[in-house]
Amino acid sequence: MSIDRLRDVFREVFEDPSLEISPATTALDVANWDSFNHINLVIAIETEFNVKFKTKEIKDMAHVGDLVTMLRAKGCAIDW
Amino acid sequence: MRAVQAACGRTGAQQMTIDLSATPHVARAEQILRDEVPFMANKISEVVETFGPELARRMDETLAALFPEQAQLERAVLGYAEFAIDALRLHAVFETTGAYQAKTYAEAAREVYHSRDYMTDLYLPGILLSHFLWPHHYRQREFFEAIFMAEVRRSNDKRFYDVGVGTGYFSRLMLQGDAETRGVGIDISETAAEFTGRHVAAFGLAGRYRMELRDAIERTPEEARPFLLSVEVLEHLEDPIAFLRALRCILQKGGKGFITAALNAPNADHIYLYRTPLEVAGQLTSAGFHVEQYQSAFAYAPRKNARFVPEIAAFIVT
Repeated sequence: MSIDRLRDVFREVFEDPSLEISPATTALDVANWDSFNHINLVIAIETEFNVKFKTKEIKDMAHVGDLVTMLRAKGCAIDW
Repeated sequence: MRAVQAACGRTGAQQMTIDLSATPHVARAEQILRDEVPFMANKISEVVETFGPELARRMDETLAALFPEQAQLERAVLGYAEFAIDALRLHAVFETTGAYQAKTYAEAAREVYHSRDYMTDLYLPGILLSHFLWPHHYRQREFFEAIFMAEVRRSNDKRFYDVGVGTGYFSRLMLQGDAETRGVGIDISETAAEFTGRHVAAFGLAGRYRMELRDAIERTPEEARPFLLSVEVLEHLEDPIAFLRALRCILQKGGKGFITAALNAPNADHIYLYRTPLEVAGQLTSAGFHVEQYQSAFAYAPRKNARFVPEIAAFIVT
């Protein structure tokens, strides 16, 4: 599964069609990535990939690499 | 405090920088958020920018007293982060349904108040830090100190009840605000009672305060006192009016109460949905209180396409 699918979710949530993500991307790198949009992002990812994140997992998503690791642990084979 | 510096990177991201050198515990809390929860990295700077250095000083005093060690502070800050995430997630559902998740008081009590781990690691630190990090909570405190505490200071008899103490924050403010206040805190949660005892003791105020573990409706105290606090309890109850009637019995004739409620604010233990301050005022009146003054404050400015914004309504009653 390509990272493009995840990237497209980011682009939609943050309303930025040119947004690129990398494993090191954090909230400090993306405009308007605040608490609200973090939850919006989580919900969009849960819907897109049919997974569910626990509160602790949501808190522990320090960068996109963490998110991809969590998705892989939930059975989503994402390739960079 | 220096003015805010906003740095914009290539992606247009903004990173706020506030000088917190005078409040080292707050600075450490901010660093914990930056390192561990980046999407909350600007939270402390935002509120300090809004409310000024006094907020940072108050927060620092609280963190220093209750979480003086780095490990304690880290647990508290990360507990707050989980508390806030839970609230945001529930709010996203609330935006769609317009209703709180159905839960009885017994279920909420089992899930929250009687769960020592949940209370200690998440709920109590979350509530305590929210008094500084959530603008509507901070405004509630401002109203309390500007108006209600002024009444307390004018009185010759400064005894009070605090029913549903939670973290003990407002009990501590009453005790700090005047050297002659004497209080009894009431709560059903053993963990909340212990936390409040530690909180009050950490500020050297234990000599003028005692905790009672009891349900205020089932075992209403017999003695009435001239002052009464009950901060953000009503939304936790299946029957707020029954609770308010019990409170009315323990407020002396001519005394003053400070009673507040959360509106449109889903949380793990919020079971009664108030939509407007007037609903709360109506219940206060039904229970026999006279509303003298009130203040309401929103958590934030409405966001695009949002139907609801969490709000607090605070009432001074007789």
